[in-house]
Parts: sequence; C-alpha cells; structure tokens
Amino acid sequence: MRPASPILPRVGGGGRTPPAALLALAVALLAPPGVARAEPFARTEARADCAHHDPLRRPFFGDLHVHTTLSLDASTQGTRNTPRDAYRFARGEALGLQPYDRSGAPLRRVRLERPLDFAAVTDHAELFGERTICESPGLPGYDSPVCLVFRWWPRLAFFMMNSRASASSAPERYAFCGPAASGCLEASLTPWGMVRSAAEEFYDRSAACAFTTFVGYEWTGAPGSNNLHRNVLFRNAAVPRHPVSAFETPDPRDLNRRLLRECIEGLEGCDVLSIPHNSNLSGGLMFETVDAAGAAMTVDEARERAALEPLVEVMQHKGDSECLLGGPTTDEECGFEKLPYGNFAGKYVPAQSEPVRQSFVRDALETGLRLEQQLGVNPFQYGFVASTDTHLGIPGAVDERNYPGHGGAGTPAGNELPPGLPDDIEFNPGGLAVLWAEENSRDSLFAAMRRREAYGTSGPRLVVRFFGGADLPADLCARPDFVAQGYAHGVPMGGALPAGGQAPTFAVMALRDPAESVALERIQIVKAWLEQGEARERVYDVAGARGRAGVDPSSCEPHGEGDDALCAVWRDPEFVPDRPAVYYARVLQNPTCRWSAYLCNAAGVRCDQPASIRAGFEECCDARYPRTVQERAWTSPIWVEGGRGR
Amino acid sequence: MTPRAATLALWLLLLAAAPLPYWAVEAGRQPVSHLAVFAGLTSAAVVAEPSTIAAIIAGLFVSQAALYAGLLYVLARALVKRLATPRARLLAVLAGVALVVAAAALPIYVTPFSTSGLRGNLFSL
Repeated sequence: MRPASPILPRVGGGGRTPPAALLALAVALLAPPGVARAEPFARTEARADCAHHDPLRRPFFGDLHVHTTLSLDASTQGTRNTPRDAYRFARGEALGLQPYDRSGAPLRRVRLERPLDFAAVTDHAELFGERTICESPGLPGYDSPVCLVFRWWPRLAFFMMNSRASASSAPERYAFCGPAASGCLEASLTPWGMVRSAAEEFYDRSAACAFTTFVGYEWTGAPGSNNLHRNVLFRNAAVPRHPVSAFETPDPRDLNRRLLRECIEGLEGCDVLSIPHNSNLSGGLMFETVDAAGAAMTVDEARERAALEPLVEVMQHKGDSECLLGGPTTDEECGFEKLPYGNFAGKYVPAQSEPVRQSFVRDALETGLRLEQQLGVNPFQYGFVASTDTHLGIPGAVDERNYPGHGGAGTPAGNELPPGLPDDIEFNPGGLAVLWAEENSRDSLFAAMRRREAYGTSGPRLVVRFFGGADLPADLCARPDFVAQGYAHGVPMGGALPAGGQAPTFAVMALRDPAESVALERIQIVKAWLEQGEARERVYDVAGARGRAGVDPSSCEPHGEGDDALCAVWRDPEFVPDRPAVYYARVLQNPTCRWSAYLCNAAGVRCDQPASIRAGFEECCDARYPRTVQERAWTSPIWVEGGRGR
Repeated sequence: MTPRAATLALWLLLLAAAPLPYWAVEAGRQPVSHLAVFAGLTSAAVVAEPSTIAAIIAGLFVSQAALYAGLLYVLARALVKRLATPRARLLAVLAGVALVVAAAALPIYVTPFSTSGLRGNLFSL
C-alpha cells in the first residue's frame, strides 16, 4: 500500500474554497497536456461539432433512470410530469411535484442546484398502451372494469396492473388489448412518441453541446417478483417502432436477442445497450448462470450479454447493489444503503425474501471470472453507473437535504403529503452516472458507456480517474500529465489488461465535489479474484485514512479533517500471475447526515423522548437505518486476464 | 316503527356510514357500502381479466365487506331488541340519520385509493 502523494492538500472537513493545489490537481485530472492515445468515437448522426472537445475526455454527470407520468406506477401515485418536464428539470428549470391543489397548482417545487449534462427518460414499456387506452375515451377498453379501477382508484390500479405486468414469469396482456395485443401496441405509440420527441427536442445538437438526451425505456420483467429490470438506451434517434416489453419477451435473454435483431442488425443506424438495475431485488436471479429449466448459459448467450450489457446500475433510490456484508464478504462498506428485503414481495411480506449474495454485483464480477474460464467469454464484465430511478420526473435530484421521495413503489403522495417522512425509510435519494467522454454528444457518451469508461456516485459530483497498467509511472500522482500517462501506459476504468507475469499497477485520483463542503476520507481498491476456482475478495485502503472525521447526527454538524483530493499509485502486493482478477476503486467521502436524519431532526424527533416522535416519524428511530452515510463513488473495474483453468 | 323495519333501517344506516377499518394492500377506514363498491368492481375486473393478485385483492374486499355486513346486522338487531316501544325505535333510527348527517360533514374516513384525498367525509369518498 502506498500513501497519498505528499503534494496533496489536507484540509478540514468544512473547507469550501479549493486551494491552489486542488486546482493544479484538477488541471492534471481534467485537462492535462500531452498526446492522447484514446481512439475517437464514430459519429452516427447529423449534428454540429462540439466547440469543446477533449481527446483526453472529461467527466459528464447525468441520470440514466428516470420515470415520468408515462409510467403507470408513477401516474397512479400522482406524478404528472412528462418527459419534457423531466428534461426541463435536468437542464435546471424548477418543476412542480404532487400533490396538486384543486386548481392544479403543485404544492411542492424542486430545482437542481447544478444542471445535468445528460439524462435519459426510461419509462416502463409495459402498460404504455394500456394506460393510454384507460385515459382515452372512445378507445376500445376504456370502459373495461380494469380501466374503471385505474381512473377511480389509481392506487389500487398500481397494485393490480403492475403485478399483472411485471410479477409473473409469463405476463399476459389484458383482454381489452385486443387480438395479439394489437390495440395496446397501437396505443403504445403515443407515449413512445412522446419519449422520442422529448429526447429530440431537448438534445442540444448545436456546437454548445450543453445537454444530451437518450431515447430509452425500462424493460420490467420480474418473475415471481424477482427484479430483472433493464434500462434500454438507444445511441441516437434510430429506434424501433415499438419498445420491446416484458409482455413480448419475459426472458431477458429474449430481450437481448430482440434488441440485436430489431435494432443492431435490423435497423440502419440503430445501436442499443441495456443496463440491469436493482439486482439487490432480484432474489439471486439477475446474474443467474442457468435458466429456469436448469440449462447452463451458452457461449452465444454470454456473448450477447457481454455485447448488450456493458454496464450495471450499482445504486439508486431502492438501494445499493454493490455487495452484501456476510459470508466471505467482510467489507464493512457493504452495509451502505441496503434494503432489508431481497425482492419486491419481500417489501410487503417480510418473510418472503432476505437479500442474498448472488444478487450483488461483486458476486457477479467473481462469477464472470469463472464463466470466462469456462466459456471463453465473460458475460458479467460490468462497468458501473448509478442513477436515481425517480418516479417524480426529476432526474438528478440526489441531494440528501432535499429528498422529495421516490414516487413509485414507496409512500404515495398523490393527493396529499403523507405525515412525516416523504417516503419509506429504506429508500434513498439515489445517485448519478458519470461518463468520461470527449464531448457532450450522444455518440461520444454512448461510446463511453460501451467501453465502460464510466462510474457511479451516490450523489456528490466526485471526479474519479482510474487507470491500470503494467508499467504506470510510480510518480504519476505528482505529474501534471497524469491522464495522458494513464492512457499511454495503461487502460482506463472499464478496460482489461492481458495476462502477464508482472503485478499490475493502478493509479487512482479523486477530487471532492467542488460545490460541496464535504472532504474525501479515503480511496479503496476492491480486488476479486479466483483461486483454484474459488472466489476471493479483498479491500485495500490506498489513499487517505479512515476515521479522521465524523458528523453529529443530531445537528448534522461535521467535525474532523479530510482531503480535497486524493491520489495513489498502487501495485497489488499479492498478485499471482495467470490468476484472473478484477479491481475497482471506491472513493469515500467524510460522513454526512442521511436524508432521513435531516428531516427527523427538523421535526424535533428525539428517540430517547417518545413524546417527541410525531405520527409519520416513527421510522426515525428504527435502528436498522443509520442516521449518517458516507457518500461514495464506484469506478468501473479493470480486469486482469488470467490463464485458463487456474 | 316495527322491530323489523327499525333493524333494517339501522342496518342500512350503518352500512352506509359506519367508518370501519379494513386492509386490502393498503389500510383504510370506510363504510361497508364503499367496500362493496370496491368488491364489486374488482370482482368484475377479475372476471373480465383473471389475475392472481387482482383475485386476492377482490377477495379481501369481498370477505371484509361480507364480514362487516353480517356483524353490523347483528349489532342493529341487538340494538333494536333493547328498544321496547315503537317510539324508541323511531328515535333510534332518527339518531342514526343524524349520525350519518354528521359523518357526511366530518373527515373521519381514510381512503387510500381515492383520487380526492387520503382523508375525507362521506360524500368525498
């Protein structure tokens, strides 16, 4: 282990103005001199060249998981914001939220302090048409009992219609959809058209390249209420006529095949990827290696999965999916933002499901190493992003101090705000996706996703770079050409290093969020590897130090010290040649108050004084949920290939 | 007023207005008449579009509505049995009407599925 470079600044936890050394590091991290080896991306659409183009790439912050009123589970909770509204919000405009008064004026308003660079509205494709029919007098099915329930008692429809669409291994369309679901498929063109037109309207095709949108949707398969959801994102405006929903393809392998056939192979200019999310709620099925009949994953399936699923969403409103504490995992940071149940049914029937290790991404990385040895392809070579999964149509609203709730599967606020906390206490404000790209255009950002040069944060806009190579300079942290050297001598996050006899070296640098007063605590490198077929994992602190700062949960006042920037060059001291391994960096902020603590404190809750706990605030004193958090970033991994059969 | 008529009248008033706790995915407090509407429409939805979850929800409404209807009838009968004269029974029924009028104005119902608010009076349900 190598400590952080001595040139790095060390400041108290409350310092707001970056010192000169931080600026120098930012220059090294973001816009260094030197010659890039990075390959340019291909341009697949007509647009102006971006005025700002950095061959060494810049971090762009966005949200790739956003629901609006077009999602049935959002509209039935009172969400009225449309895809247009969501993009307006992402670009910095204020937006109203439910509940609404009798005149239709929203009783809450929110606004991002900093606009996003990109966003994708990803409404549930399932029930697109059904919802349209139930709201459109004159369409066949409008007067059906199901549509009456939808219009009269939307909260009841939330349970009845969602469960039919996404809790079964073989979801069936409603009869009112007509023969071969033709009525619902036709009706789905209206919301799908709204998604597409909003993405086009708000995509900045000028040279300013101020904001990028992606056409997308969520595929919502959840057999037995085990979540297998994916967000499907298209590279440009060339997209299929209909989104492929779980009604047509209840098996995610079929989704991949349909996307290959109907988009990549079947539609000129079309390119697509899908991002699994909430594996923590999958009951162990998200990264299953055999199908329901017990047949093992084939080479073709592994190839399709690797090609279409370069990224996984590691964290969002409904919890963290990185890793689960317990068993062979002793990493205490795996306790971060965990849901106490392991699938959707477990939320309502607590005995139904405990979280299982197989649902978590770290286990999938280890399984992927094993499958690569068996199949020659790693189907779980996942890079990481985070997002919100907002069902209020407010992408990027990740501030712990102003969390208006999830808006979907949690506490409804359709007609009036529930007393107390705005949502279930196990939820959280979600995170952001960060993409290292040359410019803020669809092609450039999409290429970043495909090569996994991406990372996720739990909200703060931490800037993190991570390179791996056999011969990265040991003094990289002190050099102004950190990035150029990283590209020249190694691979960035998301890349792979060939097998070799030499221990790999990793260079990782992190800057705190410049708009927040919270300093960094430390950088860790998480390693997982195979040893005689058995998965092993270890976490190394490589920069900074633990326990230098804290926060008073009753006042949310921080204390102690931290760093504005951290950097380390680290060589794996336990590397064994030809043993496959995967490494990723995790950057931890100093502790801060969790969203619930801000609200509980403001409500005067004192857990040692029961009289102070008003209705709706009972969960403030639930010991399962901490009052403080350590916000963080997770880089995409770097893989070190191994010899086969080791 | 005959005992039979008084029992029937009181029972109908209780069915129409007595706020009763129930649970069907969400917890609420509404009169049996409203539970019956829920039961009827969700049952119709199940018949038209069979589904396990919808059947469970409809079953919860039907069973609670039936249970409460029976209990309220027993309650109405027990009340009437304690009223010996036609005049007393008439007064009891009038008192019931007064209670319904009061209920109509007070937000004593909890309506998790309503589009008009989480709490409401009899006519806003």
